[in-house]
Amino acid sequence: MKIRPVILIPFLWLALFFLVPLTIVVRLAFSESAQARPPYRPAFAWAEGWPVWLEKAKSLSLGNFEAMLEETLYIDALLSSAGLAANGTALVLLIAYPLAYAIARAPRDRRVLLLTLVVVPFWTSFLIRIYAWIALLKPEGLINYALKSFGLIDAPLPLFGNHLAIVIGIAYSYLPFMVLPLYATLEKLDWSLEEAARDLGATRLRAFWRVTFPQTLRGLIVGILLVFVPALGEFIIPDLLGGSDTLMIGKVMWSEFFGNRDWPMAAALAMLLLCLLAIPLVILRMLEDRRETA
Amino acid sequence: MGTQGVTGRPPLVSIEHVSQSFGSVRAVEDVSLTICEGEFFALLGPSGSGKTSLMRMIAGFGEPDRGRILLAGEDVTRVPPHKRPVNMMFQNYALFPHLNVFENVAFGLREEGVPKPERSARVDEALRLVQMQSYAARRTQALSGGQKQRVALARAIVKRPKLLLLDEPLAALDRRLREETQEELKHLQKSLGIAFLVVTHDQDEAMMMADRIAVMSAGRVLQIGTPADLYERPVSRAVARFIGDANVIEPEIRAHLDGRALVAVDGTPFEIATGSVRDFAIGVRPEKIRVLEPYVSVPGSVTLDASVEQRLYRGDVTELRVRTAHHVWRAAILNASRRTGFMPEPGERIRIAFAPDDAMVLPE
Ligand SMILES: Nc1ncnc2c1ncn2[C@@H]1O[C@H](COP(=O)(O)OP(=O)(O)O)[C@@H](O)[C@H]1O
Ligand SMILES: [Mg+2]
Repeated sequence: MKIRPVILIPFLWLALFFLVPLTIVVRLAFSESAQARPPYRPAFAWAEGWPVWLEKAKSLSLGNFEAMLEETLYIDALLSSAGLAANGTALVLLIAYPLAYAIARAPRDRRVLLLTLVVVPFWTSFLIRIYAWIALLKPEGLINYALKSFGLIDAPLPLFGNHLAIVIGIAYSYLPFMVLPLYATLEKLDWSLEEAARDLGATRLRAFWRVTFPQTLRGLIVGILLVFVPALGEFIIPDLLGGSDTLMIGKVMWSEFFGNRDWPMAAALAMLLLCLLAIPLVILRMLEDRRETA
Repeated sequence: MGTQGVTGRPPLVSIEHVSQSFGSVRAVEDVSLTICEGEFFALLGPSGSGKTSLMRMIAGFGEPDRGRILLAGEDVTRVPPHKRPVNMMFQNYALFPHLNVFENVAFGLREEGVPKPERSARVDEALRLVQMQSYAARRTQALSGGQKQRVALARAIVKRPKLLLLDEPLAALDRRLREETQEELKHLQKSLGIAFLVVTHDQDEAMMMADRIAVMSAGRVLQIGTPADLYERPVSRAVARFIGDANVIEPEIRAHLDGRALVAVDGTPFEIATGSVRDFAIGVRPEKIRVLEPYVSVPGSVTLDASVEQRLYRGDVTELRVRTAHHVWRAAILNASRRTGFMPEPGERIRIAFAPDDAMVLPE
């Protein structure tokens, strides 16, 4: 088989920007923190070469990983992140599915415009948009102010500095990542199938549920992964919108790295997160393989 | 033009003055027709003549702007599709790609709430009727066009509708398979006793399968009748041209008398029965035209001098394009009679003749 050089470009890209940083993180995770600059004692020195590395690998320091399991803070942060990311993903899904459906069924010449509108907020800095949400959600913010002046509430609703604010922030920030794969799937569907279902005695809702929805599962899973994975490690949203007591793994990593200057611990956490995130991807691949052989 | 059923059976579907527009496109214009119980009815017309639109309205997709639709005497004009005792076989078959053959056919029964044992018995029976029982567990994408068509048919008949709608059911099949399937469909329809409404743009297909045909053009129904009615007694130039071939000639109308008219073609006068019609064209089928050697004449026939412009061998017949003083004609000579009959060459001078009774009066 002849490999054309063009194909090498993505491989080079991945090697440079994924494999190299990953190697550095792995090396860090097995090192010990120290009063030094940089603040760790490396487990492997670059100069030692393969034979020494292999020898060292047999008696590796797993101290960071042991500490991670002993200290409940890390596990709690992970669980709480997973919960928030899951809620955020669910909210995204609730908004994105009808949105993608409506765009896919809009007249052809209007679809591009509608899709652009979904993506347009991304032309502004992410930070600025999250600050805008602070202005909307805080107790004296726009939403509470409006509700109060319409006489709908007496005391401001607790929209800011809590889990709800984080979930809203995640839903807002990751909406396009769900809308786009769903739209791509829905757009290819043959709408006469829904008509055929209705002709065979299904109401509109049943026709959607039994015919359209099952055909969009692929796009749905891709969308869920694209939202859940980055949301799990999210740092800015909990930092700016969540209260000081919110525990998210991204925030914990940040404080390990910059607060405690415990680089090896931060790297070990990052590796744990990476391994956990690989699980749904592997499951997805297995499902795909089953579908193809069925 | 009769809109009542002529088959002597009670009416099943009555379409009354139905019109439908899409923006400025008038897809269906004031259509009225009746389909009887157990009848095989065809909507025949060129592409874009409104056949699919009309059929979809019967199924419940798209409401008429005007007029109403009765099903077994009940006004269903505003009844949603899932509540109509009608099923449709879609033009692209619309099989569900995420379900296998069995699940596709069982879909409608599940929606209806038919219990599982009965459901699978009925699916098996429907698949057997279309000879697809051994494919029940297959995915639909892997099927050939003909097999998909059969599954779509099974899925539509398994619910035992009062009326089955088929939109261009055979258009996607190749010719051999199409002809076989025509006979099978006809046979299936008679044995099930369900009324079929078939949309087609293929006149041979309509003639072969249907008890009655409605010829449509530009959203309107031009004529409704049995295949023989349409072929032998077309009411308009358009129907005469669309059903079979016809030489449509504008004659010189000289006089009217007691339901008959004295007309002349190329100066040759003859009399035909016209009833009360005063303005008309005449249509002569190519196979009704006799091709004669020059100077031969046939008593009682209209005989015209002509020259052969073109000769086309068509298998069963040889078709001649001939020119008389003011008209161009097509005449067909059965090749079976070739050895005994006269077969002129292009450029040869000949005579053509037809009986006045074979000249169809076309008022519209
Ligand atoms: N959904 C629609 N929107 C706009 N125009 C339509 C629609 N459906 C049909 N038409 C138009 O109505 C006319 C009749 O179409 P159709 O009923 O599909 O004819 P046929 O089935 O005889 O080919 C055509 O001119 C077609 O373009
Ligand atoms: Mg059509």
